Amino acid sequence: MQHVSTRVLMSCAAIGVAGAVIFTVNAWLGGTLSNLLPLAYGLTIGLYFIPGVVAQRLIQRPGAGLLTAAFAGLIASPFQPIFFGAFLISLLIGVLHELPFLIARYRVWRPWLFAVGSLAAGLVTSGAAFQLLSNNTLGTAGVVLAFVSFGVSPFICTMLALWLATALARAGVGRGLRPDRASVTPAPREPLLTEPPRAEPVAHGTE
Amino acid sequence: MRERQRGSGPVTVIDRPTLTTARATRLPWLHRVHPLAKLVATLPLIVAMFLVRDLATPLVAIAASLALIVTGSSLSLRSKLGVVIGAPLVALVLSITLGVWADRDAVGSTPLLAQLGPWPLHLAGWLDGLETGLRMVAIVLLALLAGSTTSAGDFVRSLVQQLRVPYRFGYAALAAFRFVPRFRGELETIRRAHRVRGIGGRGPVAWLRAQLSTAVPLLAAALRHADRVAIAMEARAFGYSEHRTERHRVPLAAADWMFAAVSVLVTVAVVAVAPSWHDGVAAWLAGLVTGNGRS
Amino acid sequence: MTKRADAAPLLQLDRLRITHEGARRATPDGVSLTVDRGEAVLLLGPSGCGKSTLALAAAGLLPRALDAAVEGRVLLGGLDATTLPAGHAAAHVAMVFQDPDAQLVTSTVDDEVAFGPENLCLDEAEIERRVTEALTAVGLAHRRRDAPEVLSGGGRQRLAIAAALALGSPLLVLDEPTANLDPAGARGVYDALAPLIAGGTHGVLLIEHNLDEALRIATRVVALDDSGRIIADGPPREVLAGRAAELAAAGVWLPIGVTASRMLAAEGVTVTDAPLTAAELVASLGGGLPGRPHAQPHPLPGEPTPNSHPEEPTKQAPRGEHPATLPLLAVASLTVRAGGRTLLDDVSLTVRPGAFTAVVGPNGAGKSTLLHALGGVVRPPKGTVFLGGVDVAKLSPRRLRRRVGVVFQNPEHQFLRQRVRDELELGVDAGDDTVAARIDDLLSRFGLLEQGAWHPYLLSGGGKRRLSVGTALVEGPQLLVLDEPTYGQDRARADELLDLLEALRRDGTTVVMATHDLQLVAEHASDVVVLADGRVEAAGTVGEVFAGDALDRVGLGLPPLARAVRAADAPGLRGLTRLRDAVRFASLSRPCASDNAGAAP
Ligand SMILES: Nc1ncnc2c1ncn2[C@@H]1O[C@H](COP(=O)(O)OP(=O)(O)OP(=O)(O)O)[C@@H](O)[C@H]1O
Ligand SMILES: Nc1ncnc2c1ncn2[C@@H]1O[C@H](COP(=O)(O)OP(=O)(O)OP(=O)(O)O)[C@@H](O)[C@H]1O
Ligand SMILES: [Mg+2]
Ligand SMILES: [Mg+2]
Repeated sequence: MQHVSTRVLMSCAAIGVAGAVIFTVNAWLGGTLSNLLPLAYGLTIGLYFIPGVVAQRLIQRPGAGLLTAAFAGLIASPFQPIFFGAFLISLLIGVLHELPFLIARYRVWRPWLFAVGSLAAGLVTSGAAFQLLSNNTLGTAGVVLAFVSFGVSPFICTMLALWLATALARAGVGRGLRPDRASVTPAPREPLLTEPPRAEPVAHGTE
Repeated sequence: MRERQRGSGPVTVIDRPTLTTARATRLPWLHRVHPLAKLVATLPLIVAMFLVRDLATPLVAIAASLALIVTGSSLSLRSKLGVVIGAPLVALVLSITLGVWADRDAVGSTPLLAQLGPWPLHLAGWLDGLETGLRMVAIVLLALLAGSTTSAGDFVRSLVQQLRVPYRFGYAALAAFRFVPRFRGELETIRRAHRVRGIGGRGPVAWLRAQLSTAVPLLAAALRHADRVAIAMEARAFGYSEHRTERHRVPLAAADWMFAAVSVLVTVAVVAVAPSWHDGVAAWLAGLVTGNGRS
Repeated sequence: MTKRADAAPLLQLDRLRITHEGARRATPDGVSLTVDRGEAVLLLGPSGCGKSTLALAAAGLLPRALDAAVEGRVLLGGLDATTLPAGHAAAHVAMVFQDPDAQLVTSTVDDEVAFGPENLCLDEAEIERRVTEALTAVGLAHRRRDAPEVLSGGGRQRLAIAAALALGSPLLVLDEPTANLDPAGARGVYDALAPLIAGGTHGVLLIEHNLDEALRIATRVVALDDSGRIIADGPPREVLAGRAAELAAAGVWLPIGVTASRMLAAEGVTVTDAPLTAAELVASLGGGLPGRPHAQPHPLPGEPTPNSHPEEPTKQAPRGEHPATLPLLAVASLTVRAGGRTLLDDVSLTVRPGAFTAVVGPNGAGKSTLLHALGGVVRPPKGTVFLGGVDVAKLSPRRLRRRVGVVFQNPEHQFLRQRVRDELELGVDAGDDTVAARIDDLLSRFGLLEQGAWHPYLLSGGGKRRLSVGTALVEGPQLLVLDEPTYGQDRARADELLDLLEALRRDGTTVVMATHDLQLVAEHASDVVVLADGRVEAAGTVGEVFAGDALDRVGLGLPPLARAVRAADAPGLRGLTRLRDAVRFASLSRPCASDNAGAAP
């Protein structure tokens, strides 16, 4: 991650900010919702997942999800009611983004892995939400509502993000951000690294 | 294509006063505390809010954060008043909207406080809802006390200077703060352009469609802008070396350590002691509402 | 830096060929040129010929900034740029880009200039010295503590130049540095650059469409053709005047003097002194017309116009309508407020049917805001904007769209579908079985028939622009509103767009267009509205407004030709703003002209 090119870095930042711009609209929506129907607040938590997934799908590099989520949270924080809380939440979400791909050793970037990852992330968020929202007497309906809203929204939003990334790719946006695995022309060098990769056994783009 | 800022207001990047400014101009004391010290000071209590199950701990946390905000931040008097009045109000609303979800078997034996349509609000449910609501409000206030007195630029710089995050990440973030007003303007223009094309309509599905169809051009423009900024940054030797000269330091002083240490100690003390006050608080609150209900 | 660096030229390109990832041909293709201290090389070429790509290569950014195969050599002060590690080229060359906002990184003027030196790990005292020096050079020393965004567009671009200067590199590469600026801002940028060349301390590689400004500093001109090969290289006059025909064929913008000479040549008049700038043109005209008493700014009605524009927009209403017809568009006391500011302040104006109205004004004057109100993009208050007598605020979106087509500045903002065809079909009544034919007709009219199945984003810049105009025209509106549609286009595309607008106007469409190009206004518009600070400073026919002082008052100044006429103080030319009028005067004043006048189509 140390060797990400400036271009990839700023692309992650841009996706993050675009996400943050959309969050901010949502923060107040979420704020209202969380007061009136706190257990359904989870429906909006998924929005925090969108930038990271878009970046991962477009850029397909280790760390892109974490970086983008971190940028999104950081940039959104001055505009959010919870300030740097947004940054911390986003950092955690960034870690959730990376885990499935890390486990797959960053070789698979297919939609199913995004889907699996987001369902797992849903378990984590609903667990955390339950930890915060539950108390001694919360009824079954409430538990179900909390679990469903917090558990399902990462999945839904991940699917939306995949759709967005595909639409962008079809429009030729973000071309050249991926490490050229599928490139037709053999690329002898790793074009987007600022320095030659160090101690990295797998050189991309030489296939 | 040209991408001048358009459609939106003047491109101002809002930020709070930096540590240096705050120290030079003697702003209220929270502004003069190092960002990381504030983070270290508040984080344990925030985490505790997820774990405790009583009324007193969040109440203490709320009272403490309100006291710090009122004495230590440069918020306007009106905003301070808003926070002091708003926090209990939000907790009250939450206590009701959460309380109605309580398990009827568990709370049905306690007095019925109100009937909101199909939802009965019983005393035990309300108290439990209140407890959750208080914990949520406490988290927001703790974040607010650190956030509203910290410059985002300082926070990023302290990540680089104290936490050794590579400067390229930090400066990418600083540069990205400038994206915000630009992208907002762009989003507004895109919405207008789409309205002209007859996109819109009512209902959640149309709304979602409109959101997605504006997201694509926004992201496309964002990525293109990012490419340009990246090239411009490299043209100015960004990434030239492992280090760079830093003219804006965010110095960590002895007082910052003190503040963090004291806060952590107080947190430990509160978490250790406060839960034992729960029953007293609950009884007092029960008396309050049911007493009111009867008279 | 090193001894070698001092001796070698600042920049040497040697048979440079760059092939973008996935591209079929190289752009640029085999370009060799050198830039040394005291030189300003102006690089010209049609859109897409590889100017920007070449500039990136010259700035030592290429293998990193883009996926492209680079052949040939780029030497910076004698050192091979492609082998320099990240950031090291900055000691040799600094770059200024088109969009000031895409190159500003920090939040104060001070920090912005210091950003580069900080990256170079200089010590604080040296940084301080450089910041002061650079800011003084561009006249921003008194704005050090300001945020960049409170500077004007021109100020921000000068800030970008200061940031480049502070890197201490002797070579500056500028890629369309004034394209986003109003005329006053552009002038300020060249005022800042001129002493660097004159002083012999710096060398400049410049890409610029605004030739009248660029020629103030250019010492050499290099022109590329469509395929990215050099077609001319030499001193400005030799290239621009001597090779004008080839340059024009390649679609390159030409200076106004050269364009005039070419138009005169078409009339059979040969201009021997090869004027380049407007000032030179006026001087040469003035010589030919000493005190010509009856010069008219515009031909009188009925007077033959010996050029390719048979119609006189100022005086002639469209066929079959009387000049006295009701205005198509009437704005009455329109005030727009947003974000606590007054963006438009009590604006009133009328637009005749069939007029071509230009809206001009400095950056931030409220042009876009006005256009959005006219087009109903943002619903104006009731009773302020009337279209054909109907209140725009009361029209349903659907009915509004049938009457007004709106073209935004950035075409990408308007696209909604994944295919060019679908883009045009959107908004057409389904069920209408003539739709397919109509879409085909539009596609072929806009030269997009082949690309019907493409994603709109994949079209070229000109293609996107045509498509965006096309989408506004599907429903055949009476009024077409365009926001700076020629911005960043090369001459061929700009001409193409203007021809298109001309054709639409002949078919009865009324056009309202915001632009910064005052010469374009002079040449093509019939009416003009001058905005400043949300107020109408002047409105009327082009002749009236340009004769007044409104443009000077708002800081725009006159278009090049009119400015030169005024400066030359040639009484016989007073009121002359349009190139074709200048040509007409010149050809009328020379004996052989009248014989050839009829030859023009
Ligand atoms: N990142 C890129 N990837 C692929 N092709 C590119 C890229 N950038 C530019 N091109 C192509 O390379 C060619 C040269 O582009 P370049 O931007 O250098 O032209 P230009 O002369 O600067 O044009 P303009 O006057 O429009 O700025 C064009 O055909 C363009 O489509
Ligand atoms: N929604 C808004 N809220 C606040 N200010 C705005 C808003 N929209 C535009 N402005 C400001 O109003 C002024 C006029 O904007 P407008 O875009 O109409 O100017 P313009 O004449 O089109 O400028 P340019 O030549 O740069 O395109 C600008 O200073 C702009 O920043
Ligand atoms: Mg270019
Ligand atoms: Mg505008």
